[in-house]
Amino acid sequence: MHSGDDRNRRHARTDRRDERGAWYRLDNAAIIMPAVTDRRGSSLFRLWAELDSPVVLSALRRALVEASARFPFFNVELRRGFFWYYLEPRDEPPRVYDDLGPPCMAWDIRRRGTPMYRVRARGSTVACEMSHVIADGFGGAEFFKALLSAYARAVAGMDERPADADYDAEGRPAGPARDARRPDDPELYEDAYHRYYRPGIPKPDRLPLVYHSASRLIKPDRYRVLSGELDLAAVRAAAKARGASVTEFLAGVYLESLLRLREAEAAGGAPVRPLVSLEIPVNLRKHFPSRSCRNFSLFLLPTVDARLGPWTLEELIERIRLYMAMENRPRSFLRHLSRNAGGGRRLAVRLVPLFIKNVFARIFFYSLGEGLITSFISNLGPLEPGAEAGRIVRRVGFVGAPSALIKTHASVVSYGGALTISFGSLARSRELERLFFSRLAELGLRARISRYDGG
Amino acid sequence: MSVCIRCGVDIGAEQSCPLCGTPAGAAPAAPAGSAAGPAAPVERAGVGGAAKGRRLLAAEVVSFSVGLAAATVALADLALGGGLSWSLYALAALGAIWLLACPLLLAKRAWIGAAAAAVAPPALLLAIDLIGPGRPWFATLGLPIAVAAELGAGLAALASARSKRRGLNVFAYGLTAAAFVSGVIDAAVSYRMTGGIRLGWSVIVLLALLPVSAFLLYAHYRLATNATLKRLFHI
Repeated sequence: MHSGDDRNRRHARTDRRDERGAWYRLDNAAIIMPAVTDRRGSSLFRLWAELDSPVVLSALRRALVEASARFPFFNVELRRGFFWYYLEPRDEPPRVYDDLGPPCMAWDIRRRGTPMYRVRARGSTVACEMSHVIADGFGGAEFFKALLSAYARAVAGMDERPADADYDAEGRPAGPARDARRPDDPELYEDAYHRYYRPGIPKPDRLPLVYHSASRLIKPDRYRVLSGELDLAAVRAAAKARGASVTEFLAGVYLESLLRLREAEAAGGAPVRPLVSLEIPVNLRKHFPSRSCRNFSLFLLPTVDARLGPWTLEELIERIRLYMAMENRPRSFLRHLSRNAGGGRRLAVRLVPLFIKNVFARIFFYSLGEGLITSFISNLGPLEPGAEAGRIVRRVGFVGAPSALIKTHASVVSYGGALTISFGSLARSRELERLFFSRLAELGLRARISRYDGG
Repeated sequence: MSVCIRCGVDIGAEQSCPLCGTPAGAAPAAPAGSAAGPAAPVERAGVGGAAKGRRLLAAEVVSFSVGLAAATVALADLALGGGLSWSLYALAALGAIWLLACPLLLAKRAWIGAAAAAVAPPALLLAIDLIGPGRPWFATLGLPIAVAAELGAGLAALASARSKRRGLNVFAYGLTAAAFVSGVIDAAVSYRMTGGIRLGWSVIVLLALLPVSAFLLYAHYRLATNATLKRLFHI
């Protein structure tokens, strides 16, 4: 007989072993991802860093080997079981790819042999695109920081070491790094949702479907990324002047932009839902201690009703601030966490064949996920790659995975004295980005805009 | 230091960029493909137009032939029998043939063409039922069987088409579709004869085909790979 904690610990272990070696179960948030991944919704989010000089390829390759050895549970590929998907360690070591194509696209994680992340390089930019199947933004950032740090060390030591000593004739890593996949600390890849599962917690309240932008989609295999770089201190001051955190302040401006966009579409005669909601992902590690680099986040969903009349920015920020003060609590998240983790524990659910699970996954992804979200703003916080990398990294960026329903969303990361807000979009219209950045400019926060679509 | 002119990365002493393949020191070339995979297919001038021309010609030939046959049959019936009688069956069949050719006529609107082709068999059955004497049978017998057959074949074809690797799974889809159609035929016939739905022989067919189909899918997707049973069947 297991106690509740023992049972939770057992469910939280994602690694398994059999006669062919290690393999991993998907974490509770990831199990739905393969079913909803398609040509447009690649599930890849992207972190990038602009360095002070062109990327030295041999050093980046060596750094990738080092980082991959530290995170062997990321060097996996997705496989289908009869009841669930699972992750199988790859025989091939990770490679460095060029960064010439569109970001986060043309990478089908369901295709056999496809790595679950890729490191790309172009000019002085290093990027890491990682599937949400293996990690959330925190896990991706941990890997990316390790990569940058290893790269900085490799660049600094280039003159003392033969540049390609660790590679065979085909440019693949040789030596111990090739087999460095033995996991050391299971907590690094635990399914922390299950660790903190509590039975008997009531389910979260049902939420209504909300407004989504009517903009037409851009061509498949394209993804627009538009970034604005702001002075972090100025943004902090603007937020503080309104009694809000940086996330709350930016969420307020973004929600106001979404309301304006909805108003414009409604004025144009398009049928639009009245509710506008903004997802704010929350790193659960702040509430439930875990070192897991797998997914371990949930979200808050401040929502406003456009039928109640025009909302001022101050009202929106206050609403978000009060909502966050109430809901950004462990008790609130326990309801979602227990519903999500509890569902996957039921024997009746576990015994359903995967192809049937996939059908329901798509339905639930809409009715309990994207259908309830107009857009999201994800603040990764400061990305500090360490002292060595800090000397060569000029700026960093972060953009979320593309979504054909939400179309446009924002991701925030800060580095040094700069805060970068990146919009990832599948929409033809750039009106939302324009509304957001022009509103910030009205507030005295002028962003330096750059865009990247791989063209 | 040698810098790739496309990627802009330092490639050291490499002869060509290991990322994009551009020779070191070469002039910029057209993109050969991204990191993510091969480059997007380029449109080849002339090929699309030729294919369209062939389709239009085929559609014209089919329409003309069907029209000519219909006119001949109708005129023969009128001339020899003094009215349209037996020729109605032939005209209905020719109409169905023309509908089946609609995907050719409506190449740009594939869904409309496919829908027209799908309508052809039930339409032919309806026409035969209306032309022929006796108790009507289309609604209770012809329509459900025709729709089931089309649905089964369509879904099997769709599943096969969407498979990344085709093999035993195609047979499995076919058997599953056959089992489904058998069930509908059995149900429709029993309803026609007794006024109620009682499955008889089709149950045996289902019990025979579905396990075979399941095994074929299992063999195709699982046994052909190296995965272990523990991984495949973990719950």
